[in-house]
Amino acid sequence: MVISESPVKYELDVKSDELKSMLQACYQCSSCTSACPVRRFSKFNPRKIIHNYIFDFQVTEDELTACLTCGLCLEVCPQKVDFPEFIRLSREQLGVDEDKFAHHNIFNIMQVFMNEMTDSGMKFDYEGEIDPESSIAYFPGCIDLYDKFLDLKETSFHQIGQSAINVINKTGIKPNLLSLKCCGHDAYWTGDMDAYDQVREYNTKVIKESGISTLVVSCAECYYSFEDLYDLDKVKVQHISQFIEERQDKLQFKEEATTLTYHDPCRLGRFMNEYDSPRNVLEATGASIKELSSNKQFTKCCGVSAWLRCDDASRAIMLRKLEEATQAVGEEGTLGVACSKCYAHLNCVLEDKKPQHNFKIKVKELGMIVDERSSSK
Amino acid sequence: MAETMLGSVAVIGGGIAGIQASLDMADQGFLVYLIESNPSIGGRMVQLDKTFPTLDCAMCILGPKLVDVQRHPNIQLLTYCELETLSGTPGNFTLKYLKKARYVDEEKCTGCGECEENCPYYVDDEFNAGLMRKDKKGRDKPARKNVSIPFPQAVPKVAYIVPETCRYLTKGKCGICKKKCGPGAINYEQKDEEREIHVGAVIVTTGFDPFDAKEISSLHFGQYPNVVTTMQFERLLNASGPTGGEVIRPSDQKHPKKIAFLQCVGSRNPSLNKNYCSAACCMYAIKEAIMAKEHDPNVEAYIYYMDIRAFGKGFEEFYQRAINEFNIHFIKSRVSEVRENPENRNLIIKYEDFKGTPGISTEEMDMVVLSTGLDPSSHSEFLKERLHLELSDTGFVVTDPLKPLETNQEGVFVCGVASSPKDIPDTVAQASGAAAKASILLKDARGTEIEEIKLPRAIKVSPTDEPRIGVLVCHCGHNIGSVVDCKEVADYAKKFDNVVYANDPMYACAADSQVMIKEAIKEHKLNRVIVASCTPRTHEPLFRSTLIEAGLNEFLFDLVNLREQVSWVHPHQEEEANEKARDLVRGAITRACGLEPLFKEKIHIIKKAVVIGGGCAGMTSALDLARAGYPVYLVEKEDQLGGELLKIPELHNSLKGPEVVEKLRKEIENEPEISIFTNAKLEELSGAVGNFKGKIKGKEIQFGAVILATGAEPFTPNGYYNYGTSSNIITQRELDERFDEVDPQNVVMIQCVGSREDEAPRSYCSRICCTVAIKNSIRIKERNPNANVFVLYKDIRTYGDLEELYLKARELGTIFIRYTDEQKPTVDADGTVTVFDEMLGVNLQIKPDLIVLSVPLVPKPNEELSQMFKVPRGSDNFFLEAHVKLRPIDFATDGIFLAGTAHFPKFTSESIFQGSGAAVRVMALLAKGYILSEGAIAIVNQDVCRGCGRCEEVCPFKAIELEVKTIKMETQELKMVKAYINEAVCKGCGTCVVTCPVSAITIKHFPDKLIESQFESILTKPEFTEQMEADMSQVEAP
Repeated sequence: MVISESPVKYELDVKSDELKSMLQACYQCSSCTSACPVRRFSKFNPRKIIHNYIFDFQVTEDELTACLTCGLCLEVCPQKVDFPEFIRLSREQLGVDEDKFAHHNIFNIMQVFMNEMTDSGMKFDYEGEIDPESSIAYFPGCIDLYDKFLDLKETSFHQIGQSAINVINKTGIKPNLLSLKCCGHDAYWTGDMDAYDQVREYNTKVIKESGISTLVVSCAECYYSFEDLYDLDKVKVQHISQFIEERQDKLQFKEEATTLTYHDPCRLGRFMNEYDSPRNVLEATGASIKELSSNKQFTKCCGVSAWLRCDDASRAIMLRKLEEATQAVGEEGTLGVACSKCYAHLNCVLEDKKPQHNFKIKVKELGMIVDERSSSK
Repeated sequence: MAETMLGSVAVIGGGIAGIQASLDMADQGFLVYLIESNPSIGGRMVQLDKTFPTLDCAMCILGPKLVDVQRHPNIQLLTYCELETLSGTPGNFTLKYLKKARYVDEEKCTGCGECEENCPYYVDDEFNAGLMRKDKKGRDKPARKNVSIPFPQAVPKVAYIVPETCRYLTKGKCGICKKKCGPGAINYEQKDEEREIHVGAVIVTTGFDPFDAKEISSLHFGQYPNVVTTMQFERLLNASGPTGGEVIRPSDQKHPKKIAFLQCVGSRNPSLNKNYCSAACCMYAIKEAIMAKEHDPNVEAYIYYMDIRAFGKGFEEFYQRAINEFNIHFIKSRVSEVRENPENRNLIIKYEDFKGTPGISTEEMDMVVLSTGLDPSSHSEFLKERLHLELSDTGFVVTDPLKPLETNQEGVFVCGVASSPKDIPDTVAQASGAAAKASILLKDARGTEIEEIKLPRAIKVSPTDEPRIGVLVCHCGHNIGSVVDCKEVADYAKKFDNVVYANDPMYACAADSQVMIKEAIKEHKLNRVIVASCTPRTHEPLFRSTLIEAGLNEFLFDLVNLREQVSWVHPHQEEEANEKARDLVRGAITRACGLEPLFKEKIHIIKKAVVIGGGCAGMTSALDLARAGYPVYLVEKEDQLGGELLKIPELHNSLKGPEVVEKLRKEIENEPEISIFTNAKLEELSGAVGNFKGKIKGKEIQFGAVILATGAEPFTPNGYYNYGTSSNIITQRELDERFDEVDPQNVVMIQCVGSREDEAPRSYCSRICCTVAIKNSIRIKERNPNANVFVLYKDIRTYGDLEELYLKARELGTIFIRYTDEQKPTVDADGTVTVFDEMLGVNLQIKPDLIVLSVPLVPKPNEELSQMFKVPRGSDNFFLEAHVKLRPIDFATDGIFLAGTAHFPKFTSESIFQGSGAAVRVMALLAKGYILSEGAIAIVNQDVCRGCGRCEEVCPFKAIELEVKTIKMETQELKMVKAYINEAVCKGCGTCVVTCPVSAITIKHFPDKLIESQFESILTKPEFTEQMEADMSQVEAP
């Protein structure tokens, strides 16, 4: 019945009627497109993708992978159209071409490897006091893999975990160090539901059987996955910033004042509505925060999501972020992040060869900043 | 129902809705308590600069109504009062309220403004929407002093003190206002007082508050100084605003050259629980953009919108003027974010340009104006908790589509924005409608609570009596007194023959001055009074009633304006100002000598009405009038009552048209006061307001007023989109009728067929077609979810809460495709529809099995009635009301009213409230049984009139008729045409006087000779000889 100039059609089975009517409710006002960080550097157009869907027109491979699922579109949408969920579902049903993954798809391969080849979680090697009987557990995430495969010279991912354990110890707690598999965030958001379900089942079992009451994580994606996607019954999941905020009276902070800026990760901020804890913790360390020009719910994404497509548009987004941060705290300042992925992407672009850019700003993970600026009381 | 009905009503809210409802009740003889929480009545409309689509000055058209309310003997103003509780039963409610302390004695305050002038402290100014004003030293200060008069035309014009920030009330220091107050009105000891009134009914008119734009943080209102709201922009445009009408950027006082208006800020936004369209913002943004260009032709104005909702009468034409005449740029895109360029504080807006350009389009603006929506009033929670009114999820009072003026509480009525967002004409019509409902409830108690004013015996003044003039020269505190030497002017006045009394009171309008005037009239046997003070607009009625109370004819009065015309305009030329003051007073003295007493004729009227048109508007009018006790002749030209509704099996609100008609018809048939005439026409009309005559089916009838409710019908779109060539191409109405017979799989609906695309008379937007298409798309999808419905539209105009229906249609899967005038859809011979989808940037082809055309409503034949009643039609051929904003159901000619789709396309519930509104206008006219002529009316000198008829043509009130008269000459008889003026209808405007080529018409109170003598007197300065001075000294000193 409808003949268009591009008559490719697909039948997307939007399982939830709610999502379907939500997409149909789109007024084509284009708030989403005018906010989208990918759109800034490309023709990517969420509004048009939705309109295409209404006509049963195919979403292109390019559109399917370009979206960062950062959720800024949903934030500005007057109709509450959940575009990221639409993209996720499309990826799930249409599949994502392996070539579109960055770093030779190594992180997906590792995921499969973890699922298929081993029957245990990741092993960690950290200094500090660990207590397997503790009711409070800490999970560092996949960061050790980043060290192995991203090959950055001046950036240590292991230090994220080490700093977190240091800080936890300083508050007088010896955490259990849980040996979990990847949280599955990336598999979920790239639509690989088999892989996601496998890790979720494994992790849920391990967490429940460990008898812990609290699971602390450094990565915003882990936090979102365990807290929002998993069903962990009574186990409380805390982002490291929330954990520190609760126990900051146990910490002694350095007296020297400093200024830094802070980037809200999409999974912690827009997805989990946690804007205050990271700021409170950073301010408790004596830092005064100069806000980015786009902050909190309007924060622009760090540039890459779920290891999909680290391309020129991604790099342009990252460079813009560094520029925004430099405007906020000056050339020698520090940009604090509360997500291992943001930390990876922004440091990666910082280590790019000149003359790509001249940024001197430092990007540090929140736990690392707190560790540097604190001792136990 | 209460055993004792009270003939009084409480109107809650003093905006335009409350004002209209109060006047309509009070005119009938009900006692009205008008309760307003602010210190002045006027509501939101007084904040506006101009009104769309006529660009009338808002205050200029509202001001007279404010004064009407103030002067009405049956209205008690309870300003600065908060409602507390309502108890009792319909017919007898007890209402408790808190009279908030103004710290100013309302009886004593004259509104001179002396306190405000001298107060050293400032408070946030809600009236100026929080804008700042430069003080004498160039610093930004809020535009309001801690003690102030709400605005220059405030009613009551009484100052109030904001206690929280008053230095005297908080710290016991300062006290300047009390020292400066001439009449001694400041009272720091005043306390809030609990009070109680008893009323038969309540009308809720609580209106709206503008949406707080700070809620959308990405727009940075309150953070970037050059992001303002439309209400602030109104105040920037307004000559009495904080910048004196100069449009400037708050950051640097420069004139903005590039201004963006962002639509739907706080409307059409389910994520903020604002699911509704605010209905007025598109039009007021267009108006403000036009006004910005009128102020400065170099301004470029951009309006960023989703749909331009120009759905009211004259709106679409106004929108087209904005595009074509004013070159306003309209950009279909919702702006997600506004950023500031820190270097120049310009604003960068981000949007999608819909041209496929990669990246986010940006535009740097000097100023961004946010079109903030209409939030339910902050009082609405109160309505829920204390008045137990049912509110919708979005906070508006819930009403039934067939009872749009009634709430869930019997005896409590609602109108205006309190029940849903709407613009001013709909608000006014609804206010009249709510008054009709309250009048019906309380009809047996009408007149029981008002007192007839007992007047003293009239002082007889004949034109031959020697004039004895009293002159008062008012200081108005320092307003006049600081420039004009009032005592000297008063002494000067005394030098004239006939001036037997002169005085120079501090405030001529103060209560004690009225006593003084009355005593002077008695003591000095005055037969003329002159007050030299301020504007007649606000003050002449006061002094006239003082004369009446003293028994002196009110026309033996004249007012000289020494404030607006002397002290305010010449503050720095004292000598010349004093000379001018003396000249003006002298002119008035000369004029006063020639003033004659005039008498307002009591003209008996027939307490019956005719309603022409038996559709839902006409039936509602007839029912309301009959229920209020007035006999009605209901005239329908078809063989049965019901009109168009009979042909609509299902309305957008799920009501069944024929069932609605059936219900109304039964009610009408049970109403003995209604005489129904079907297959009938009104013929052989003669007479005027109060005393019409005519024939229906040969039966002679007499009536006092008439309502024209002749309706409208769908346009037949011959020649549009192959209509008529196939049974699969039909109109929405035909789909309504055949809905059960068709079961289409693929339906294309094309909007704006034959409207918004043609020249006049069909250039208008027909208001209801979007909703009708959406209704039918929902019905199709609900019957068969797999059917595809494509709606091809230009703008979806589902205003107010109809927006929810639009959302529902989308959620059910109706596909909306926007087209533009440049690329209209086409229908091939084989029925294939091709449309360029602007949203996708591609051509789409659809092969539907049904094409439905959305055509406009056009007026039913109304030319004959228009000629018969001498009432005008607009360029759209619908009847043209007296004023599109404030008199939407009146014709300019008295006694003739208008309701329903004869006025403009509208929904059933709108026709219903308009029908009720027209009914109360008739009730207000018929209630007294007589009308008073104006007094100062025009008269024709029959000897001079040569019957040219020019006066008849220009008379805006149709008060003049030409008659053939047989003139008996000495030698023969001549048949000549002569003009006659109907005293009941003439308003004394004087238009005919200046038009008459042979000067046959004069106007009483302002005859040429009087005006000429006044001019002459002003221009000739008399020289007073010593002898004259000596004569003068014999005149008694006051």
